[in-house]
Formats: sequence, C-alpha cells, structure tokens
Amino acid sequence: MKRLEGKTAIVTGSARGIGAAIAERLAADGAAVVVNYSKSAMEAESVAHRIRNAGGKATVLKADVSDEAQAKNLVARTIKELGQLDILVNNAVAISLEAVAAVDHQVMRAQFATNVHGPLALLQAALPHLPDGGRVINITSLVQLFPLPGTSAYAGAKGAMDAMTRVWATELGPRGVTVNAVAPGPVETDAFKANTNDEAKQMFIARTPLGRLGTPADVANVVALLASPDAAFITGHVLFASGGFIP
Amino acid sequence: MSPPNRSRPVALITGGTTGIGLATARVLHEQNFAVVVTGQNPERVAAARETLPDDVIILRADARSLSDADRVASELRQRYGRLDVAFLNAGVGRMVPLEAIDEAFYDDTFDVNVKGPLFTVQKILPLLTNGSSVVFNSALGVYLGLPSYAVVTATKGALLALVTALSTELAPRGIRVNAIVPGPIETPAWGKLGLPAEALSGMKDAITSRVPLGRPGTAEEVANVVAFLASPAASFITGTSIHIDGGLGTSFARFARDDEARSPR
Repeated sequence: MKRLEGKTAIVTGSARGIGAAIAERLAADGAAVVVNYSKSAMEAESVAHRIRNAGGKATVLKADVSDEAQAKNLVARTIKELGQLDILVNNAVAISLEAVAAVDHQVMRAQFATNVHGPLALLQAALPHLPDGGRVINITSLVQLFPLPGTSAYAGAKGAMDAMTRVWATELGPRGVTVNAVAPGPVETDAFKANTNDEAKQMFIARTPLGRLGTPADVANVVALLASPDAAFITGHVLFASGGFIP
Repeated sequence: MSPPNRSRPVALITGGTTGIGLATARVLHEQNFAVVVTGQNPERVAAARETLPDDVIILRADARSLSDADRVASELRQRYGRLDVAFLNAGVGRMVPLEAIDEAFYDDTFDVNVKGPLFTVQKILPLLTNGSSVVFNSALGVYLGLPSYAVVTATKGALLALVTALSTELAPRGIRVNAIVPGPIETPAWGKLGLPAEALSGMKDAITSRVPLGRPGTAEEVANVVAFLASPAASFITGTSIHIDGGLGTSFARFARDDEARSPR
C-alpha cells in the first residue's frame, strides 16, 4: 500500500513550479490531491492530467487563496467533493522585488494576503476536518536566514509564515496534527528564471555547496516526508531544502 | 526481486545495539541496506545479535577509541569496499551539575560524543561514495537548555558545528552531512542519565507534558528520518538538521496544552 493511500491533500498554487511537483509527488504516494490555481487554469489541468495518467487522483479547484472567502470556499468544496481533508500544503506564493523606499503598500498587503491571511483562512476552515495525524505544511523560504535586498515584502511575509508554523504546532499538537515548514533556497522555477539574471544565478550556485540550484522535486520530496507517517513526531520545525546554501 | 548483493548500499551505524541506533539498523535493513553496527557493551551486543537479522554485522568497538575506528573502517573496506550511509549515533549522556563536573567526565563525554564521530568520519572518508549521506545524532538540549546537562549539551552543539563545517568541505565529493535533533525519545538512554528512578520519572513526565504532541517519540520515528536523510529523496539536503521532537522545540507548549484542557475543541 502506498504511504498516503486514503488521504486527501490540498496543495495551493499547484499549477506550476514547486506546487505542481508537490501535487504530483503526493499523488504518487497515493493521496487524492486538489490541484489549486488562481490564474493558470490550463497549467492546472495539465498537472491533473499528468497525475491521472500516472494512476493518481486529482481534482482541479480554482481559488485565489489571498481572498479569505475564496480560501474558505476551497476547503468547503474539497470536503464536498472528496469528503475529507488530511493534508494542507500552503504553497501559493507571489514574488515581488522592490527596494525599501519603493515598497508599494498594495504589494505589501498582497504578500501578506497570500502568505499569511490565505494560510490562516485555509487552516481555520480546515480545522473541523483535519483528523488525528493531519498535516499542515507551509512552504516558506531561506530568506529568513539570508536577507536579500529587495525582499522586504516577500521576506516579511515568509518570516510571518515561519512564526505561525511554530505557533500552530503548539496549538494543534494536542490533537495530533503536525505543522511544519519547508524552506527552499533558490529553486529553478519559471518564477525564479523570470526574476533572476545569469549573474545572480551563478552567485546562488557558487554559494550552494552541492553546486546546483534546487529543483521543484527536491522540495516535493521533503514535503512528502513531512506528509507521511514517517514524520509523525516532527512538528514546529522549519526544514531547509537548500543544498547547504550559505548566505 | 532484490538486486544482487554487490549493488546493495552499505550503512554504518555507531552505537547500533540499542535505542535509536538499533531501530535505524532495522529500518535500513528493511530498505535493503547492508548494515554494519557497532557497540561496546558485551551484553548489549549479544542482545542485539538475538534481535537483529543474521546478515547485519555487529562489531565490538569503543566509540572513543581511534584504533577501534580504524578497525571498523578496515572491516568496511574489506567486506564492501564502499560506504553509502554513516550514522554517527553512539553517544553518552549523564546529568552532572556544574559543581560536580570533573575533568575525567568532561574528557570522556567529549571523547565519545565528538572525538569519536569526527575521527570515524575521517577514517571512513575514502569509502564514502558520491551521493553518500553522513548523519550526526545531536540533541534538542542544544536549543532548550537542561540543567545539569552542560557537558552533554556542549558535545551535541559541537556536532551541529561539525555539520556546518563538514557539509561544505565534503559537498564537492557529493557527500551530504546533516544532523538529526531528537527531543524526548523512549529509549534506554534515559536510564543512563544517572538519576534515581523517582527523579527520572518526574523529569520524564515534566518534559513530556510540554511536548505539543503529548508523548515521547519512539526510536522508530527517529530511525525513519535517518532513513529519509540516507535516501535519494534527500539529495539536496545538506548542512542542516531535522528536529524530531513532537514540537517541544517550539517551547511554551505546556501553556497551549493547558488551554486545550480548559477549552473544548
């Protein structure tokens, strides 16, 4: 039997990049996966298609999790269609790069809406459904250790996510739900390529002892561990999947 | 069908006759590793021989002895010519208040917990394959602070420093170096703290009551994470640590549990 057989997972923002790899990996481990997207409908359908072709179960649900009502509705529809929710992966992300003087407060609010309010609303809606052994996994970032210029909004929101991860672990521990974060370093996704020039890319590689950028699969493998029964005693932890990246 | 023996990956587990080491030996063996464990105490070696599968090699070796580390490395070289996983797990931990720490206790604790692991990695280095995984067994005390545990905590902190340094030094050879950081785990190590039974059970209860998951972990729950770090799924993880502590590291959990008890779900 596959190790996530009988479990249901929501992976927010899983039409592309790291989210898509997580959705495919959890499905390969046997979970019925909700592939969530807000804009990339075709990409989400193709992730679901790949999952089903590989013998897995996928349901595509549209929701912009930065909107509280849509986030809560995503959980409600998941319960309606799949009957249960065991694993919540908060992966949806918005990248923004602005020097502090230029930080647009609209952008700041959007970052917090996606990375803080969204996961909070999802968890609140999920709480009545998460069973003993349930899992909440937040995808955060190495920026908490490596402050890159221009990431006020992004690092601020991701730092808040790490902090909430630890708090939620203490609150949900008594009911057997674990809450952890996975913090990737630079991962070669479309978003990364769009925001990184070759010079910056070489700098990232030079500072990574394993000598390469991370892949979405590298992150998905760690999420799969945390989602599995093997990680039953791990909670409140931020796990770095960064190839040893040194600031 | 299992692959032929020559392609079986090889794992070394120091201190593999009890507790976390023993559980890791079982888990890696189930995952088709050729497993070699070390142990020092003759009774525990004999007991492990009874419970571990026949093809698990058990070597008598003292974790503080560099010549024993040489012997272990040479056994591995002769038997397999390679090593894919090294779990530096052997360790000692006795509770001694600051006033009572003497030089012999200090030296012995550092010899077993730091010197042994460092020189073991040095001696097995020629055998470690590209893609291999070195895992040190640290402890949550490094983050929390436990009275009367200064020397042991210092050794476990030193292991995290070794992870930081060695991960960068060995990365060009494709060797990953990480630590596990266990919180309270149900193992025989509790009995070796040097506490009277009553004090021990009081301390266990006090610690467990602060674990968000509300229980101590099992040796298997730690072993599974070592197996993950040993696997290709962890191929981009190096220079870091994984906490297996039921959330105790998040601290103040006791208050959350009290709130939980007061308010219905």
